Amino acid sequence: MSDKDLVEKILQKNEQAFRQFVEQYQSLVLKTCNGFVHDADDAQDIAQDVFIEVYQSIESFRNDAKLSTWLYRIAVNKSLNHLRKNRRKQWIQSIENIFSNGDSNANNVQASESAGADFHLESNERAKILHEAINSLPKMQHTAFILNKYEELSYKEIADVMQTSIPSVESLLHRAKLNLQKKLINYYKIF
Amino acid sequence: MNCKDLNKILLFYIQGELAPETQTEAERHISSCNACQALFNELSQTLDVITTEKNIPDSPFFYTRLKQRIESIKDEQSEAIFSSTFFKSWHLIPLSLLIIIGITFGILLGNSASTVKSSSAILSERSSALKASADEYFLNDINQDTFYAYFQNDKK
Repeated sequence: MSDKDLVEKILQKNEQAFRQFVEQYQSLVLKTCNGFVHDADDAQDIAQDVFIEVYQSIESFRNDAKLSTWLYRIAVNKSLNHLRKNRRKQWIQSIENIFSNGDSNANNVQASESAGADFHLESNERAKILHEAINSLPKMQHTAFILNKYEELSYKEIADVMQTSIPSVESLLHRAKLNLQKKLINYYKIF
Repeated sequence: MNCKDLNKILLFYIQGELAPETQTEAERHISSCNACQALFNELSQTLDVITTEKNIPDSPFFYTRLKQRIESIKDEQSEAIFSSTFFKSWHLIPLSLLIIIGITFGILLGNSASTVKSSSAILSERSSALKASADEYFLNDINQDTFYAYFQNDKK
């Protein structure tokens, strides 16, 4: 079934068509969300939110763009919203931690005791360093980097999703890589 | 190429995005510099995390969970519509009472106004009757004066 036929059937609330649509694009949405949030469970929840939004607002889809482009846009927006909410929660938690120092000391002891599997701890640590570096990028650079590296989209496809030009995407990606390189090198030079 | 120059292009070297000559120069420097070799290893392994994270498996129960969520959202929405309609209709009862009280008050006011009007009509009738009789009185006076004046003139 073509995208156009799929959309028409979903508009008629055809469950089979919607199921086919979900199965066809589930991987795309999941990978995009995971690229932003770096957590499989959160990525699943956000991906569900994306498909719920599609179900509720399919009539607003204009056939001038590809269905996948529209899906990417929704996935990126939902993921960025999730990150924003998380940052607020983390900020509040850090304030709470200042007033409850005893708990944080207990956590540190527990972490060092369970550091038996050095290899796994190292790979988790690497992931954490990478995620922090990627998440610290400016929003547009962040989005372009995730779509290029996690989704392997071409410059043209990224430009369609971000509703910008190809030269802008090239510039965003170049700056994102320079910033990422600087952060990672600074981190490893200290350690 | 020195270490500082390599640090500016290391990520692009790892991704294979440099021009061939620059790529070769970078490779030559890394092979001859221990510090840059160590940095290259760390950066490469860190960027490999992306390759691992890209392969997130699909959940077999994804559609089932999604369907349940959509159904529960539909139920919540129909409940919200019902409760808002019910809530709105509750507001109609005191509003209707207010309107009835207002109409009753209006009728009562209207009745008392018409009573006042008939009283004033009676008053005006009486006053016009009084005036008529007063006019008659003065008219009689005027007639008398003319009458006397006439006779006085006659005497002269």
